[in-house]
Amino acid sequence: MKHLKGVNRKGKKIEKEKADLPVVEAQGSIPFMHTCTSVFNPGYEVDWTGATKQLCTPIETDLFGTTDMYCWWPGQAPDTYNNPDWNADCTRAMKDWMKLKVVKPEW
Amino acid sequence: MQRKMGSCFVVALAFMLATTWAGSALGAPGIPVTSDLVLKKCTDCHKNNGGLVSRISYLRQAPEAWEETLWRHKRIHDLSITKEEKEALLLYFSDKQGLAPAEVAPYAYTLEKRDTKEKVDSQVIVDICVRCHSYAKTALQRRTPEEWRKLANMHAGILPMWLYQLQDVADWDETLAAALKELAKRFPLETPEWKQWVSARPKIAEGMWVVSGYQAGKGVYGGEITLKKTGDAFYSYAGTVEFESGEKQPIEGKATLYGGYAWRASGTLAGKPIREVFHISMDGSTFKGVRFDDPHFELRGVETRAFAGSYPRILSVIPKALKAGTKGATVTVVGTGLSKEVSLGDGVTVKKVDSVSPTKVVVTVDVADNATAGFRNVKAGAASADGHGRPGAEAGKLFAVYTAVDYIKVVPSPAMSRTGGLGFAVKQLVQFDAIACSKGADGAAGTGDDIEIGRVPAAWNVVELASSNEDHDVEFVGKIDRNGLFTPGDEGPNPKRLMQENNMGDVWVTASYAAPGGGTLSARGYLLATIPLYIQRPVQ
Repeated sequence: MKHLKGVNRKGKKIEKEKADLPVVEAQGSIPFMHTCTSVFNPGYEVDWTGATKQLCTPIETDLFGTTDMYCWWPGQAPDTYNNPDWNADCTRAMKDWMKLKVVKPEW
Repeated sequence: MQRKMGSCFVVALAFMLATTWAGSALGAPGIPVTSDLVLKKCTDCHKNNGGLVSRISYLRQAPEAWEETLWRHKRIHDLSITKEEKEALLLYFSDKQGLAPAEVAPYAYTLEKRDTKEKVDSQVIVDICVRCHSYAKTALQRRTPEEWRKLANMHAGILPMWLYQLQDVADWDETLAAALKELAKRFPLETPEWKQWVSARPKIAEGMWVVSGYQAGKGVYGGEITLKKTGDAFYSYAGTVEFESGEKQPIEGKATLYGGYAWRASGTLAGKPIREVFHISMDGSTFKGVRFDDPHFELRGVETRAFAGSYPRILSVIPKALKAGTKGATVTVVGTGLSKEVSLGDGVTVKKVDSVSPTKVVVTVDVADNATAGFRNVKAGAASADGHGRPGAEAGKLFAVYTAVDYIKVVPSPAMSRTGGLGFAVKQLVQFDAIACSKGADGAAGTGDDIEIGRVPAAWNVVELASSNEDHDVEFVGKIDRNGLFTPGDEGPNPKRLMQENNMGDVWVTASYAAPGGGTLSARGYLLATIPLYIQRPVQ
């Protein structure tokens, strides 16, 4: 929060309290196993509760909304910015989902 | 005097500036590129400064990571290379700018495509890197500090949403700076492991290699393969694998050994296509990795291969546990440099040596009624289970005596399957096992002295894990067979489900085992049945 400065008494109190806090080395953890995304707003394979009920239902309704052009889960679904041909044959995911390619290296 | 001091200062300053300029001009410390193919294909865009090529000279990474780099350049920058040129580039980069086996080993699970719950002891790296991909993907790279910074810039350029994924991080600029500092510290270009590896890269021995592994759904197995060198980095192999059921299957294939350490093979097991991902130990005596069904990477044997001519050691004991009071049990010891003088520890008497070879000894044993429960130090002549502390040995936990089967557990848990089968996505299955366990000497389950007795037959079921009202995932997610193989449903919207929900959900997988002493032991594992990956990066 180096860009914010407390200007009133309460703000300065918060600044002081924050400064008094011990520095803790954060321990990271991955909420689920790889190859799941750890982005849960929304999640791709699993929601933040560890279940699937809060995901887009069915996923095809919002698949392109979250992948065109800037993919929200680039480890799980292709972004069309870098993979323009991924959904070239699939103009409507709800109808043409069987034409969705699985993008992988081809030589 | 003052004038002299002044001239010295000017000379010293000029020298400092000159060396600083030379250092930055040469980009030191970098790895000079010596491949004409790299220079030809890359230096139209990357600046070549006396052999030090911008970006390229300042990183090392796994073969799959180099493939991903080339693939990205092909997709985005119109890099034009043939399949043969791609292979030549991967071989060159893996050799000159690859990783040492010790650098790969902790993170090999992602190359072996093993779903793994990762632990990362740096929140800033989780925030910056692991929102999108595994920590292993990051950790399988070595870069200079400047090169880590450029990698971050590259991500911002090609995946602009990356910055927004840090929306819950208050100070993303500070977090990024902290992460880059941490990455440069953890994964620098120059490491003692790499220095050691390039100075004494062992040659892979031709001849017999002993196989020892575990395959979910089939159990432990042993075997032998014969390795033959067919080119600078190319090998062929053939042999036999024998499972604990007694079933023998022929195995053969062809492999490329990238950088002298990364074994990537394709072949057949009992005539069915397989692929292999192995990495060699620093001393060149042991391969560790996986052999999996192609295209089902999730159906695999996790395996160790030891050169038969290397130092004596025991790789596995089959079965891995016997009950106190057992009489006339057959025990097979698999390893290298074995001899008939087999010792299985206190309370276990070898009554007869049934067969003996340097790689396999079969004995008949009695276990005393009052033998104490616990792990035993197994020996077969000069070979022991501790492998003299050298790589490839599973220290001290290869064989145990137990008094009762106290509980079973379902593995893997958590597990993940993915739908597929109708379009381009291949279904990702899960092979479950029920593992019988004994509580060990302390009489408490789940403690360090618990003994895994082995895989047992079980009755399998998929049971609802109610996470919402009207939760009926179990009707749609897929089926499990009598051997614990879970096959997920098809991908796509399902008109039979509320809101056409996909065939996804979270469920319990339960196993029930009829214990030898009567009664039933049950356990359950968590299964996330989810949707396909629509991008399969070489390193996930």
